[in-house]
Amino acid sequence: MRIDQTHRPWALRTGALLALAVLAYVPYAVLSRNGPPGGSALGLIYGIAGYGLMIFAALLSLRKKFSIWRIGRAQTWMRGHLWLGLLSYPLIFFHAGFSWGHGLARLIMLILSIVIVSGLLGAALQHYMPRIMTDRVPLETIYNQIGRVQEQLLAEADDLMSSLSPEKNEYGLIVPASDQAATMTTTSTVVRVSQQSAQKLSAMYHQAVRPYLAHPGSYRQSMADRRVSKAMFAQLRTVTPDSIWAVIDDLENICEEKRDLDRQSRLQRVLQGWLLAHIPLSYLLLALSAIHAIMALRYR
Amino acid sequence: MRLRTAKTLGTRHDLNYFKSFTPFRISRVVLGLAVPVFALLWLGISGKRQFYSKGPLSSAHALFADQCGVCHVSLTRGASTAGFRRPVTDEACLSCHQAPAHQPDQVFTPQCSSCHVEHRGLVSLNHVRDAQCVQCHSGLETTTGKLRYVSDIRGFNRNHPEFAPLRNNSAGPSAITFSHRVHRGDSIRGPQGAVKLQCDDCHRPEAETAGPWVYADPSTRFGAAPAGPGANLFRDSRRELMAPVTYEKHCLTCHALRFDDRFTQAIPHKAPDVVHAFVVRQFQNYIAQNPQAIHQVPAAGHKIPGATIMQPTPPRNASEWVQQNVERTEQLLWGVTCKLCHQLEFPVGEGLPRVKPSVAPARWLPNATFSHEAHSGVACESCHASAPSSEAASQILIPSIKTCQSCHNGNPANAGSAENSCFLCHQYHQWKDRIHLRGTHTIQELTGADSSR
Repeated sequence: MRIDQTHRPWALRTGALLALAVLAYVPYAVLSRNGPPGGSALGLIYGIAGYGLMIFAALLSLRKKFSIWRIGRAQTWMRGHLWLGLLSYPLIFFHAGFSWGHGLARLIMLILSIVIVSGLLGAALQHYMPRIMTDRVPLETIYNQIGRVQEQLLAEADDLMSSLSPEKNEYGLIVPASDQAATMTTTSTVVRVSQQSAQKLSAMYHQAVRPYLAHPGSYRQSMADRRVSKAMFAQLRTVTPDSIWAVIDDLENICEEKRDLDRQSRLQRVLQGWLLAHIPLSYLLLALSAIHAIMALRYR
Repeated sequence: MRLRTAKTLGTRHDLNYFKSFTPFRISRVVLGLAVPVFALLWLGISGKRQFYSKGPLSSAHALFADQCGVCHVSLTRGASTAGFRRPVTDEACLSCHQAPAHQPDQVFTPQCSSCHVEHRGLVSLNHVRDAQCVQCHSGLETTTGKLRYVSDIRGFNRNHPEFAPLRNNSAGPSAITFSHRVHRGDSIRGPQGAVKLQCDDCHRPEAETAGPWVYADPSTRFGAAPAGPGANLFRDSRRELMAPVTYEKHCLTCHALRFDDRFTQAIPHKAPDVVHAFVVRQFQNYIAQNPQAIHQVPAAGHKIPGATIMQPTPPRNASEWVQQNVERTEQLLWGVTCKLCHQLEFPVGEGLPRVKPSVAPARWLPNATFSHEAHSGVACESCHASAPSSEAASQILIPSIKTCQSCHNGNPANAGSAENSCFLCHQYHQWKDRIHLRGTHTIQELTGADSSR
């Protein structure tokens, strides 16, 4: 989700609420004889408001789970999650009198800080990463389907190379007859290549290209480096007849797509990895805050 | 040549992909459940009650930090409450502590816990914030409508009045004639020779007055009082206030009350009737041992300066001799010796004078505490600036509040500013009204220890 002009009303409303909270807090803190206690009436209001906003922010996951419920657009919920969740942070600090507390209260403040920071990081990532993804991953696909697509790329490469069969074609190679063909198995022409060229192509495929295509995210392999890959294919072209360069071009293109998908995987892990901290800690925060509220009210 | 068209790309994807659980989604769900569950289990198993506390207890209460029920009792005004809440009531505090009331005519009595705020770490609970005092003293009211104190005090540096003895430039109650300037001068001579008196030669805290005075004549030195049991166990014990200056301790060495060369014993520093009886007894004893003295002419050295002494008729017997000598001696005593320091009154019809009492209070500020020990690193003249030049004992030499405020102007203390909180000098509770307290808690109750171990 990009943070653009459409967020302005949310930002303004959140800022207004924060200003209101500050206006109430200043005289309250100045007039408190022993510092502003969380257990006072206003302190409790801040605590309840902050906790309420946390619960609202957590309800986003329910909204996503039941996307067909008519309870507002997901985008609206997302904006509310972002801005109201952020507002909960100063409200909880007002509740605590800007103290990090002790024991459970301190743990809650720590977790809240991590949740807020991870949320801000996530918002920043979601703001900038899509553009980076578009720039750096032109062959982007659906994240969940990357594994499946990479399997298809391997199968496609295997299909290309299966035509290089000494039994059937005496080291002949079937190449596409037309540029419009989608696969290698349509009308084709048999092109004879020398045994030496066929061996070089086969050797490179089995030693470098196939292992690279077979392992998702194989960043340490030579083919993972675009410059190395380009050099290797260029070298292969020098020892093979130009009649099979179309096949080599296709192999290179498959490797290029694999590299893009690996890069997309990497970027997606960054884009979504923060959720692995944000979501569990958010649930933990809600649970611990409930315990804190019960214990604090009991022993107030 | 490979081509990537929408049609070819579309066939690549599983159209139900969103229904499947990817490793990332599985991780998210597992972590989302496992982290809170494990954390709550750990909290439940560990059983550390302190973890739920809003802060560490003060050092005085830290012993029972895990026994919340010692303070958070379900008692309100003696009755057990079965409700959810467990607040700290005054009764819980008073089960261990004395807390005499502040003033009988105060309009508002705060709860113990509102001034002595717990769960703030290893701090002293006596350190009450100024705001607690100022809430009443900034606009003081009483149930009787009569005010004995200034009604608008907002802090030591905010509208606190001058110390009461110094407010009206009035003289002190002392009836002693004494010049600090003379005694701090260079021409003072003691029994051992020239003396340059320092403040602490005469003014010392009670704990330091047991030993002999530094300038004392060896023949008149008092023996050091034996230290009582545990006298030195408490560092600040009897060191807050200066001990009163006494004649016997501080004056006698230089100002011995010798009245006649025939007697080695000095006159006791007592009331006139005791002095009179002593003088009579001395002369009676002397004439009994020296009957021929009746016919001796008195020595010329006993003349009172400026006084005209009628030559008495020669005594006819020992009784007349004693009477004449006593009269002459008492003329000297009441007219010169005693008046050197004391103010004497001669009531009509009474033979002996009355000495005005020299009532110099040990504590000038009865509603405040002060410790010289805490200020022992500061030179005396730094605070008592007018003392070295003082000519009269009636001059009140305690420092002005401005002197105190020149250091005590920080809350809390910081570089260049000592703390100026109310509690440093004032006590809320009237400790003179404290009564005996019988404790009820057991060690097992406070520590949670198993008594069978």
